[in-house]
Amino acid sequence: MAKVFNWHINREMDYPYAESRPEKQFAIIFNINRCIGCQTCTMACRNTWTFSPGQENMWWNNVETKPYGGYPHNWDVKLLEKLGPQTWSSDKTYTGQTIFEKAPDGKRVLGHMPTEEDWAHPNIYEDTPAGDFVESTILPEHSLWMFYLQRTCNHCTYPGCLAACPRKAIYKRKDDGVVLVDQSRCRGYRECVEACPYKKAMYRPTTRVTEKCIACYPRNDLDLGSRCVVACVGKIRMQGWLHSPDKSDPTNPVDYLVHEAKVALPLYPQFGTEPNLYYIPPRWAPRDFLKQLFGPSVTEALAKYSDPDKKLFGLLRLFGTTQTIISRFEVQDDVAIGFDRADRELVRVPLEEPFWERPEYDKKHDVVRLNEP
Amino acid sequence: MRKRRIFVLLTIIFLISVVLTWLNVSIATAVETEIVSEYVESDLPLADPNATLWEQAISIDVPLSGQIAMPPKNPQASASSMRIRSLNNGSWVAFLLEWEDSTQDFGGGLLDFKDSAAIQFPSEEGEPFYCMGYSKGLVEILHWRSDFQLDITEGAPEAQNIYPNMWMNNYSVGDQATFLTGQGSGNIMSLASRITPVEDLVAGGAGTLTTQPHSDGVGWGEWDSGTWKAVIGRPMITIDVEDAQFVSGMSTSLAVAAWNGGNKEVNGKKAISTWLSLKINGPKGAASETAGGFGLPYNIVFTVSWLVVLVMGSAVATWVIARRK
Repeated sequence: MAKVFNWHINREMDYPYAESRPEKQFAIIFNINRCIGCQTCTMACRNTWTFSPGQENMWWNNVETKPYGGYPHNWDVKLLEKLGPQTWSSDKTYTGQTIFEKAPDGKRVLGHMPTEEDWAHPNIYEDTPAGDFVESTILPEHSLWMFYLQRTCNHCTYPGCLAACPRKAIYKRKDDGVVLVDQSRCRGYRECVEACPYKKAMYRPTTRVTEKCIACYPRNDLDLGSRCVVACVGKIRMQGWLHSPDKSDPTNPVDYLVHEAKVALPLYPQFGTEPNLYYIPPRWAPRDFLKQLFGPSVTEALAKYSDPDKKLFGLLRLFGTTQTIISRFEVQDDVAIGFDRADRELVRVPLEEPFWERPEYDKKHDVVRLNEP
Repeated sequence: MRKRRIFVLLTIIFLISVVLTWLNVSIATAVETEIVSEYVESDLPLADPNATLWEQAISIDVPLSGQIAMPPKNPQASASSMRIRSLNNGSWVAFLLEWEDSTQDFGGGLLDFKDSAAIQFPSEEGEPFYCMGYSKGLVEILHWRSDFQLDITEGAPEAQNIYPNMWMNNYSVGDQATFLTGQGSGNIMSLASRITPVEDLVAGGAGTLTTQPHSDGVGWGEWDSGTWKAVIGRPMITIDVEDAQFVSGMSTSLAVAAWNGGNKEVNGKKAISTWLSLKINGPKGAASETAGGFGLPYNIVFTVSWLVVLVMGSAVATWVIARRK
């Protein structure tokens, strides 16, 4: 067992392999406030990668409803139950145990193996809210609430799947941090399926090996965003190359959102895998629930998101505006500009959407404008 | 007179022990750890675990215990012993393994694991670490698998067979090997068709297990009333440098393992034995059965040695008794 530093939990922890961070890390920021649950991302991934025999129950990208939904069902609460108390100190250090530290005797990782049926209903409890119905509901916390949680493989810095594989059939790429299952080396032991806290390693019974989200790395290699990112109708996703906190670049969109503005938070940091998907929490959900999901910085993140400065405001305007990964961004007086890795301008959007008001009666043509044809 | 009786008694004991040793009868009972591969003139029953020819081989019962050397561990292994016997005909060597398993499991869905058994040989002389060898002591493993055997009898697994009540979409272009990524990458687990249920692998320590591109192993398994019987065989000489090579008369080692799919046993979660001795018998009277040195048949050297011992022992005893008089 090696000692590695996990900045999500602000301390060292046990991991079977030594610390080895990639040169840059594949990462996606999700703005939960904007998701409409249309599942276009899910279908984009499905139609690209998991439409073949044996993959019927595979959804590398899924969108589930919180608090009651989950694919596979109860993937999070079952593991949280086994993990025991998840406490944080006042300086935001995790004082509970990670899934590596709490590994049972004879195993490398504390995990949960779902049943076959758990995978069969990806939209279970879709749009099922919690709380009491009242006539009206206002911020900061709605009395009747639910939200969509969009999930793909987190391409963790310290993956549970990689740690659990007894034969090193899972590896993390040094250049971009993408975690992959070697299809020629896997022998279908399914230790990874049990060990991944987020349940994104999935067994394929027709080929007897395990598959997982590959971050659309063939697209990333061409500087194009992953399919789930670029297909997003609600423009809730921003993909980029994340660096560790000490190497953060404030002109890099994901570095800025995670390390500078700190509005984007990791999912279940207490598992200890240092996941690389980050979420801007929904403004209307109860804070206790959000803190269990995203850690102790929820209040500050929501405060910042609710009252953004110009730079953050501008960056939020760039979400979903280009198929290419934005490597650098700038916010000038009234525009936000995104640049690719060769520093060519990709996209330029105004901070305020232009607005024209046209009178109902057009004098010139002597006609009344109707709302629809 | 008393000393004369002692002398006679000693001589009789000597003679009896010579005769018993000549006839290969054990005087004391010990735990059996040697498997003798019996030589037969005919073809070996490589696909028939119930063939009567197997009765020509002496079987031994070997205790198995759960693997607990490294995670994932299996302290509560399902199989507690395995019966092993072996035949060879100078070209092929085959092993019949029998072990208890209350359920017949072939794998299938996410939570289904297969029954299987394996034999491990050192690639070269010696006994490397019995848990899969180590970097300087490779082992060859022949792994009979019930899921590979089912592929032969019923074809490669299909989702409709594993989940009979599931609604299946039209897969459009999804049948091609490219989209069956295990198949496209040449993984033995995912072959569209196969001819042997026995996998041939090499390992140099836990986690290094690697399937050989060409399997020299053949075999077949049958399950009946809570017992698996599996034949595992291969040519005695192969061209793979990492394979163990067998010649008549040699002594080597082997170890066995068993997995009960019904007990979720897979990878390191298995029941294993320690190293056992394996003697490959050749044809009787063959030149290969020399005691070494004289180049004479083993029997004659053996007999002469014992006669020498007997005569010298008697002479010593007589001298001692005479001295005491």
